[in-house]
Amino acid sequence: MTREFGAAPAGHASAGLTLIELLVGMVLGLVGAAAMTALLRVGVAAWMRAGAAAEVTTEVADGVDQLVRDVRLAGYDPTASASPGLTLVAADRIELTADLDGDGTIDASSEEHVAYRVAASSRSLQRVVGAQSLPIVSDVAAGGLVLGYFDRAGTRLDPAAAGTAAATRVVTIDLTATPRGRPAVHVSAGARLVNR
Amino acid sequence: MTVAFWVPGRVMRNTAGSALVEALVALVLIAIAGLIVAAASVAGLRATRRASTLTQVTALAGRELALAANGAATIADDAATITVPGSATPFDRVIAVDRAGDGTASTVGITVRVEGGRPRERVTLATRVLVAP
Repeated sequence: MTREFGAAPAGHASAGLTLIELLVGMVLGLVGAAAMTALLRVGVAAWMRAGAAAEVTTEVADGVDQLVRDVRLAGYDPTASASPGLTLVAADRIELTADLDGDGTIDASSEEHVAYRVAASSRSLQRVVGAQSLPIVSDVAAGGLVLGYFDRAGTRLDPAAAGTAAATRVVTIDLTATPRGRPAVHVSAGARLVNR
Repeated sequence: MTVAFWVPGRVMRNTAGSALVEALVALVLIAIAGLIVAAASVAGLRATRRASTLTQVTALAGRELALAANGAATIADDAATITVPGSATPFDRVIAVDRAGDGTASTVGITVRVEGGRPRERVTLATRVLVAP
């Protein structure tokens, strides 16, 4: 007798899959697929949450970093005639100047005059350059921008008091964002006015 | 009987019932692969969370360094616990000062170490500030 490869051996009644084996295999396969699907759903949801949280953190940190850079640069005045550094100080807004081109004047329509404020309507932190306002952080909480001012001795100054702008040497920044359906993100930073 | 060609382990074995065993082995292999993928996902999530925490701790360390550098003329070694709005746990802050004078001017080396957050991370920032002798 000649048997081709893969054919049932002679006299064997049990060759191939039985119906029971096939059903058990299918049930086990379905259970495995369901478990994998549940695992994937949990994993994807966790990834989305973590990604969204990281994105908000990065956005807030980048906004704060931009403000820190502008504070460090404030008061740059190579001709010693033009830039006071801080032209407006408040607990929730600030205006900064720097004579970037060294021409002895502050061009209010350029990057030489920069302001930061929170727009309540859009809940965004805005960087205002001249007549342009650029939202750099969204979902800012109500009262989410808190600026602190410190003098040379490290004493905290009252933003509403006269002379605070001239006496300020360090600005601290606390920014809180509360994206919908996500935990609040808070970044606390600060910068020294190196040109004073 | 003549077999067309030899297949290792196939000729002498009774193949009846092997389908169930094979299915179980396949399931175990799939489960192991799933575990590996899940472990990689968890590691990725932890890395993302750690990056966010490091961003916040670094910004806070920058603030503390700015405040310390502002008082460079008089600042001394210090350790304190600081509370930050929005953070459930306080942060540990350590300032180390290294003074070196050359007769005409002095430089002050300031190192600020901040530790905290979830997961707990440590960031160290340093600078040198020129102060009047």
